[in-house]
Amino acid sequence: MSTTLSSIDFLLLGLYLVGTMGLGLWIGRSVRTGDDFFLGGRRLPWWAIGMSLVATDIGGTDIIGVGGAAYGHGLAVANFEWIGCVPAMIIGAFVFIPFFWRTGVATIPEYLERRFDVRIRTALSICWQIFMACNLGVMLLASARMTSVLFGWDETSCILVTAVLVGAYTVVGGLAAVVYTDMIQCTVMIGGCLLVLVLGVVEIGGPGEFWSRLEPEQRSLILPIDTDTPFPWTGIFFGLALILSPAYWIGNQAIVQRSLGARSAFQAQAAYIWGAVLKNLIPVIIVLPGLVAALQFPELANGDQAFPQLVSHLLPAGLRGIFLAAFLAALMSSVDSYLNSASTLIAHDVYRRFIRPEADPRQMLRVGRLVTVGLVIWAIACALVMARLDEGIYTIFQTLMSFFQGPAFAVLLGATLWKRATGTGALVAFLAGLVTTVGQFLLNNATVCRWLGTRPLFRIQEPFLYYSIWGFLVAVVLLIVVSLSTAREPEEKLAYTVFR
Amino acid sequence: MNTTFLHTFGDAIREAMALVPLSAVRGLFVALPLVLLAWILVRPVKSAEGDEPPEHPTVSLKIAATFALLLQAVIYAML
Repeated sequence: MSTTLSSIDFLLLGLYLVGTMGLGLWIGRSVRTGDDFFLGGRRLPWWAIGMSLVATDIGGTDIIGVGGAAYGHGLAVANFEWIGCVPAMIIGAFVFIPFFWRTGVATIPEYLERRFDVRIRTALSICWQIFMACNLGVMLLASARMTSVLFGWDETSCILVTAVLVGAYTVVGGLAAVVYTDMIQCTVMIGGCLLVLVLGVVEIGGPGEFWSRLEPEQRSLILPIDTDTPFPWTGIFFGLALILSPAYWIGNQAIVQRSLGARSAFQAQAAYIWGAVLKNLIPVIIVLPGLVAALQFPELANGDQAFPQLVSHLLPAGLRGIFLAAFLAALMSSVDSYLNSASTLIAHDVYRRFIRPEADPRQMLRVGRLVTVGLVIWAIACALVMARLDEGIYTIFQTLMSFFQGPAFAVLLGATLWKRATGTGALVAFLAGLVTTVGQFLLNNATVCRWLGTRPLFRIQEPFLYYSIWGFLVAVVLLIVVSLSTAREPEEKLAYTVFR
Repeated sequence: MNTTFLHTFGDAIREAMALVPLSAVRGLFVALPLVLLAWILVRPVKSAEGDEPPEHPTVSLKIAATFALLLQAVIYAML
């Protein structure tokens, strides 16, 4: 594909990049304080936040990876965007998000200190910081591997160009720049992917012909427990819909932070519901093209080639630029969000909490920008190092979030809904849940199993949905037992930190 | 290959879950958005719409949420 990009393609790409950078830098003119930088001055409108939520959730690697998973495993991968998003976003909108907004916090760990104590704030914040710092490198590297194929550039150049472009407007404009550029990126991403889908379905012979040619298992969302795919219904329902999805939409700093920057609690709620409405559309544009590719090119060696192959086959020179802009949009919207949220965690949970509690809003702005620059440099270094490491390490970083999301969600549920939950209970539950998930990962690892002489703990590929179920359950049990065995939290602490 | 009590426990759960027919599983997936929808619809308007009057009076959170959840129920009933 790299050899067949026309000057119109490059012009479209250039227009997209100039537009995004220009908007981000222009927004940066009005950033004066730390609150402006981290929370958009709490002036962000619901419609922009809703689109930003969707854009942040879909990375560039997701467009290729989800299309690839659909190519290999069928429609079941759409569960991650449907039952794995919509119900949790609606619950978030009606219960948790307006509640967090009214507490006035900037980070979820900050809320946990108000509800419990500094120990659980620090433990959770460290987990998020480690995850985000590693994930920034992973996102840059994974995206560079794809952009290098699409553009024909070497990986190092792709890493550097992406990091500098995204870093520039995130450093200057903070959360507001991230949210408003995400809005453009969401529109470009939906438009570009929809174009590929429509052309693909038309070439097959229309929607009826497309659907009838798929195998029954390819068009089913619900797969039996003994499926060969990583998506048995038990993992999807209990692990994804009931645990990982609410943990992500209610407890992920990169997601929740933009709703904390809403103009009002109502706008924060509306943003989540608008995002949920949009989420109904997402599998149509990123999953169905994978199924189109499965019918058109059944012999591909790797599912990740499905989307690029479709683009190369369907889009004439001049239109490919639209898809490439969509791919870059998806990639940039995730990297900018994690950059901004990681800097928020470090500035609030480390700098202001432990180093300079009296920091004024201008100092917080300076720290936020400096930390963002530091994170860009870190992410570049991390991506370059990981490019030379064993593939297994890179995969471990990608699954890091599933290690602590379940236990963190158990603690967050206890904090918001159960007055009797205590700080010690929360800390023990979180740590025990972490040990449980990491233990399952190790007991499922081929090398460890060979050493122990046992078979892997789980029978499906990539059982991260199951890790979260057991991590969550162990954390819930310990939260209850330890909380009931320790002294109640003072009533004045509970007044504004427990949902009523 | 050795098996531990974790393997035995996991196998027992797996066998029990395998007995659930896929039609009942589909009912579970459809019921989730519908139960959530019923809960939202019976919530008092004030708690559902927030304390402050909406800046965009035409936007109703309950109607938009109903739309999103009904779409989910239809999708899981059909696919």
